[in-house]
Amino acid sequence: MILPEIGFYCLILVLVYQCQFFLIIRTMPLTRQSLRAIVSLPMALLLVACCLLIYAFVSNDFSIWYVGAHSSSNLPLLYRICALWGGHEGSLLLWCLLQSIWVALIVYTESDDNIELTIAVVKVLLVLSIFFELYLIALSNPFMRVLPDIPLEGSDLNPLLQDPGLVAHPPILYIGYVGTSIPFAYAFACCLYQHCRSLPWAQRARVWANYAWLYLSIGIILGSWWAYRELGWGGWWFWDPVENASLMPWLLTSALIHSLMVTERTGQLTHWSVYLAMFTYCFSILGTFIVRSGVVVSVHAFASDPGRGLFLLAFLGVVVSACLYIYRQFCNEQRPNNPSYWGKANLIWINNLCLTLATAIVLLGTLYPMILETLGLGRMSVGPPYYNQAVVPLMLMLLVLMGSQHWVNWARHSRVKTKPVILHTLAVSCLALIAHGMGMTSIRMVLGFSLALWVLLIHLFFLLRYFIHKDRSRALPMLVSHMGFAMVVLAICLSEHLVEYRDVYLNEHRQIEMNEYSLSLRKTNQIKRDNYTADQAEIVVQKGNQTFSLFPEKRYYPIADIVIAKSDIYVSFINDVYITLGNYDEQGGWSMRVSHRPFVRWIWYGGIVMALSVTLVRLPGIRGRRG
Amino acid sequence: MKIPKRRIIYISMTSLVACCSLALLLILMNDQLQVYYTPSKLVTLPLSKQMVRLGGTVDEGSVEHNTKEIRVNFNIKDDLVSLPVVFYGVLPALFKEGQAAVVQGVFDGDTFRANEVLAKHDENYQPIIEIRS
Repeated sequence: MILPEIGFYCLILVLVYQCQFFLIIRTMPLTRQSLRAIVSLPMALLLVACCLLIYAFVSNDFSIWYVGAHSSSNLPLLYRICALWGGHEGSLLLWCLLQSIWVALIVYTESDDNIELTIAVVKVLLVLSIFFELYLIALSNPFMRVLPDIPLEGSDLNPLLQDPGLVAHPPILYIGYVGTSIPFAYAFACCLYQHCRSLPWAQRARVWANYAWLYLSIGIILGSWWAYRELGWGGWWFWDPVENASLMPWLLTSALIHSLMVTERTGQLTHWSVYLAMFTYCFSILGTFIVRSGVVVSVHAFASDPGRGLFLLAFLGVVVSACLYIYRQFCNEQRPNNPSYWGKANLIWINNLCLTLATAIVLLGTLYPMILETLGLGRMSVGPPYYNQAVVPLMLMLLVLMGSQHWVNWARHSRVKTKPVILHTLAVSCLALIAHGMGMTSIRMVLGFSLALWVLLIHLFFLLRYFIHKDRSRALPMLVSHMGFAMVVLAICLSEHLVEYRDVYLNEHRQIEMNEYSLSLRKTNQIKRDNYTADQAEIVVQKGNQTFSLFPEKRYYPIADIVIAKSDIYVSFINDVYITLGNYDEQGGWSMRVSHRPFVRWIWYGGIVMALSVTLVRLPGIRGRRG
Repeated sequence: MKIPKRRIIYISMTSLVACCSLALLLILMNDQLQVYYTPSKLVTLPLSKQMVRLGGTVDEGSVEHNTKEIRVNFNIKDDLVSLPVVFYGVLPALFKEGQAAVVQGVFDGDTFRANEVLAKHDENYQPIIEIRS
């Protein structure tokens, strides 16, 4: 079979094709038609390459190293397809494909009015794609063969990754990562070409940044959901470097969306927006670097080839210096407007400061251990309390801004009335008293709860006005996304406050009481599936007159020789009952961790509300949907 | 080139604020830093009540479960020393004999009392064997 070779040939073809266009692009008169040709062929070729790799997975072609390392013939078909992004090489192939799809989307949907801008943006993106394809071909070829000793069986996809959460999490996060390259390209083009500055680049960049943000949010939510179910501890966020790597671009993209709005409306913050758009993408690359280079001390120790990390670091260096250089030119040519110190623009400026500061804090916490180790000062790790103490106050500040933005408008000299400020402060303190009455003691939690509830109520009020009184003074996506954020904070406070867990020993003769739940072990079954065997405990949980059974498992995967505790979760509207099995003894008893986590699910519900608010944005300027 | 006075003030103020906040953050972080020791390093240190992280390989054949009391005893070793660890609780999914693990807790001179056990995993979420010591 020469199919993998065809796949590799496709990759080379894409690289050559794009390089060639990059070389002749100056001399070519570009129209919409020629742009389409430039972007469509690479997309098609990369799609073919992806399909060929998927076919290799489906047909168990273990002569390809990547397939052998991430699949086995017993693996269920769905996971065999998803193994495409189960490792480094495949995810990079996916990255390139997604990049080409984003570019094609721009070319196909942007209207003809902005054709000049689109051309400039495509040029910038072309360079980025060339870099990544070079990386793919030179350092991480997914079609590499192991010849002549072809393994008879693959070493299986990691059991932890065999989960519906994994099916969607990496590709969606990657769509978001790659998507941040588009505001970057707009900002870069705006600095690079003078004629682009008078065009509505901020507006277009914001539309695309919105979509990147949507996918980043959903990716993070899915990652958190996967970690919750699969890592067996019931935690939904660990402040692990790998999670931080995805959080940082998200924070910056959120800031970018806000600042671009100001730029679009008033022309203020132009420099800041340009700067932010550039650095958001740099943080996406940095995130990939952190994950792929194996430099961070973490519970995830990503061991890999140092060459890969070095290439990414070099690429990051090139991008950052190019950004700074171009930005310097931009600064010399275009003086910044003096910002006015009243009005909504100012609140957004503070919001941006909070978000970038939060990013800086997370970055410091992620890189500090790495720097210390490089300097030979020992290996350390930064614990979650650091992040909680440093990031949470900033998030509270964001909540204050979200609530108070309704008293100011876009006018430069709008003044704030005193009366509503006093009333609302009183309202927040009442809510804080309620929170204290509920037994919350930590100041962060009390403030988080009361402010979030306050923001939620305010936005609910305006949402009702929007639909009942047809009061269109406030944008629907803004209301919904802020409500989503408040929901997330509220759910975090409640779940952290109400969570309870116990390590217990349970056998068939014992019954354990845990507040209103009583648990007993009915029996232990042996089960056998295609690629694993498991001990499955059947645990009966009683709450009042309601009874349900949970089936946590202890799975053994023979090929990878790994034992995994698969937790089982009882889900209701508010409560989660979460059981992870520990050890089994000869008397037929299990040690296990039982936890009761109310509201934890609402963190993700809130996140989904926040993310999907983007779909409510009316898109100006995209053809056919001009509103 | 004459630099405008305003810009000098602006830049110096910004860098002052940046330095102050960085210093604050570093102070905050120093309280939260968990030093990561290997067994042979930990035994040479004076005893302290401070929470530390101990990383190494789980000694093969040393894992002893007492399921009824939800207690686990095992040894964490490096090339030179093997330290007994006691942990009350349920071990994480990727914990395995002969593989790397990180435990967090207090060392009292004889045993390491862990309140948290973290198994390390690599890019493919397989447990890894500690290479560096």
